[in-house]
Parts: sequence; C-alpha cells; structure tokens
Amino acid sequence: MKTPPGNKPFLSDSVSRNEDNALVRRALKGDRKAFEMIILKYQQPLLNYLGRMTGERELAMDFTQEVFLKVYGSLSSFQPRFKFSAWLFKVASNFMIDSWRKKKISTVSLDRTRDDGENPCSLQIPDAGPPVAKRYELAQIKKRIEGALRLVPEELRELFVLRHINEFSYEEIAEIKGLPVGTVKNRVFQAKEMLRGLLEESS
Amino acid sequence: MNCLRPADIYLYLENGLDPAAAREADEHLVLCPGCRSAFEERRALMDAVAGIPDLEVPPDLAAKVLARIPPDRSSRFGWFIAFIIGLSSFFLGGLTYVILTGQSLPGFLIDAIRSAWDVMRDASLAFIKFAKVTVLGLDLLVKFIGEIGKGLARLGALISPEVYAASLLLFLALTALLVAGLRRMFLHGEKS
Repeated sequence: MKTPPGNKPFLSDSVSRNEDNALVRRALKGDRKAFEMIILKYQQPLLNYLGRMTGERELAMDFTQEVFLKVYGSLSSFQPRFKFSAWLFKVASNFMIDSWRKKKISTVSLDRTRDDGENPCSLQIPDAGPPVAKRYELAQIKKRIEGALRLVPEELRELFVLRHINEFSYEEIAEIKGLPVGTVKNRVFQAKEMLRGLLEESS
Repeated sequence: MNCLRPADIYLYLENGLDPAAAREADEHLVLCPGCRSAFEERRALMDAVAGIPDLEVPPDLAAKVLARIPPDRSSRFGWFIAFIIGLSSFFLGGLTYVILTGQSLPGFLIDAIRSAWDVMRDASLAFIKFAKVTVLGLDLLVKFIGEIGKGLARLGALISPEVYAASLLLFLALTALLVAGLRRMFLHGEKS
C-alpha cells in the first residue's frame, strides 16, 4: 500500500515497514499504546475499504473494530518478513468473506446527507475548493461512482477498492488475496470496465 | 501501431506500460481520434475515482477498540502477581483450615509439607516412567528408520539408477510441496 492513513504518503515504504514491525513487537509485549498507534495508523484505510465493501457506514465502523480485535488476537501469528499492511488487509478480507458467508449484506447508501448528526461516518466534502457549481458537479460524479460501485460484484469490487481506494500495488493485492498477479490485474480491469459501463447506463 | 486495447489504456494511465510501449501509445494517441476518445473517457473515470473522499473516522474508534481488549495478559510482573496470589491463597486456606479444625499450626505445616513431598515423589515417579517410555519409543523409531534405509538400499539394488533417482526426486518434490503448503497455512497471515 502506497499511502497508509488518509491516502497521503508520509513515510517511505521501508521506514513504515520497520515502524510497523516495531509496533507489533511492542504490542505483543503488552504495550497497549503501541497497538493504539497501529489503530490510528490504519483506521482510515481500513474504514475506507470496509465502507466500500459493505456499503453501510455503521456496519463498516463495527467491522473496523472487529477486524482490529481480530488483528490483536492474531498478532503472534504475524511474520515480520511480510508487510504488516498487507497482512492486516488479509485479515480484513477474510473477515468480509466470513460475513458474506454468514449473511448477504444489504447495501445502504454511503453518501447519505451529513445532517444525521448522530452518524459520524460521513463523506468528507472539503469546504474550500472549486466554485459551487463545479463542486456540485464533482459531488454528483462521486455519488454516481459510489452508487455504481455497489453494483459491481463483490469479488471484483474488492480488488478494485484495494487497488484504487487503498492504493495497494497489484503484487500486494495478489499477496493479500492469494491470487496470481495476472488474475488480479484482469479482475481489476473487469471491475473498471463494468464501472464505466454502469456509469454510462446511468447517465 | 495498432489501436490501444482498454487494458493498455488503464496501464498507460497507471504508468504501468514499459517506456517503449508508453512512447508508442503517446504517438498513437496524437494520431488516432478513436483511441484519444477512449483514453479521455477512462482518464475521466480514473480521475473521478481518485477524487472519492475518505470516510470520516469517528474520533473515539481507537478508544472503543482498546476498551474491548482485556487487560494485559503478558505483563512483565504477571508471574509475580500470580505467585503472590497463589502464596496468599495457600496461607489463607491453611489459616481457615487451622481455625475450623482446631489443629495446631505446626501440625498443619508438617501435614502440608508431608503432602507436598508425596505429590513431588509421585510426580518424579511418573516423570521417570514417562522418560523410560520415551526412550523406548525413540529406540523403536531409530530401528524403524534403519529398516526403511535397508529396504531402500535393497530396492536400489533391484531397480535401475534412473528409476531410483526419479523416485527420489519425486519424493523430494512432494515433500517440498507439503512443507510449502504447511508454511503457507500456518505462517502467512491470519486464518479465520
């Protein structure tokens, strides 16, 4: 993954990797602060992934908590020679697959208005930026993409989200999903073309 | 150059084409309006996808997760606390016993030491028996492996060296696959 929190690069890959391994070691020794730092680092990309996979904000937040608990419980099985972010998303992916197996998740709009003050998990529309008309247009396009994305089959959507929302490389996705790189590339391509077709239909 | 395939257009957009192919695509896009239109369409899609905002993380998410994690199990003082609790329980139990039965404290301590001695003696005997059984088992295993070795040597004398080498290679390959599979299962990632 290129950019852990908030999709913004802040550390080189190897520095981030060493930092993750150090945090895991400390967490394994019972240092709760270290695990808190892991949560703070990965909560944003994990919520983005689970949000796009479930299509429901509340459920995504619950799942994010559950995945972190699962990660905490499995920390001793993490091998430092693997990349922690890839391992964490493997846990998340397995969790999603289990959930799908248990029950088919009903999809609810992610881009409901922000006026339901109780719900803190809403889209972050920047206050400043393009003029109002342009902003409205952009918001409409993003809304349509979110809507179309929910119609893409889960197995394609997941790979698309990992690639284009979480910005993992194809190789990292292949590691997370246990698939050949070629298959990952092909499925991400299928997802993109499907998304494009859905957007064309809706316009 | 032929027209660009949609998959190549996405690769081009992700800088995934090799430099020579990217140069050719550059040149082709200038000359071919159809490919240019297809390219612009996909670029617009990818630009829009890149602009999808993050979901807002609730500020108390980390606190909520940590609240659900049980208190530290691996504290460096954990063993000491357990030892103190065990010792206190022993003395408290002993004291209760002495009070309830009216037995003298020295008498109780002698009984306790005698019981502890009995337990240790029984445990030592059990350990010795276990060690004997282990040694016998190991002896059997060594003999078994020796017999397998002898069997293989006789088999080697009966079949041609090529067949023998091929069988050995096959065995090694299967073992490597088994080990790789087990490593994948147990070492890499969480298995839910």
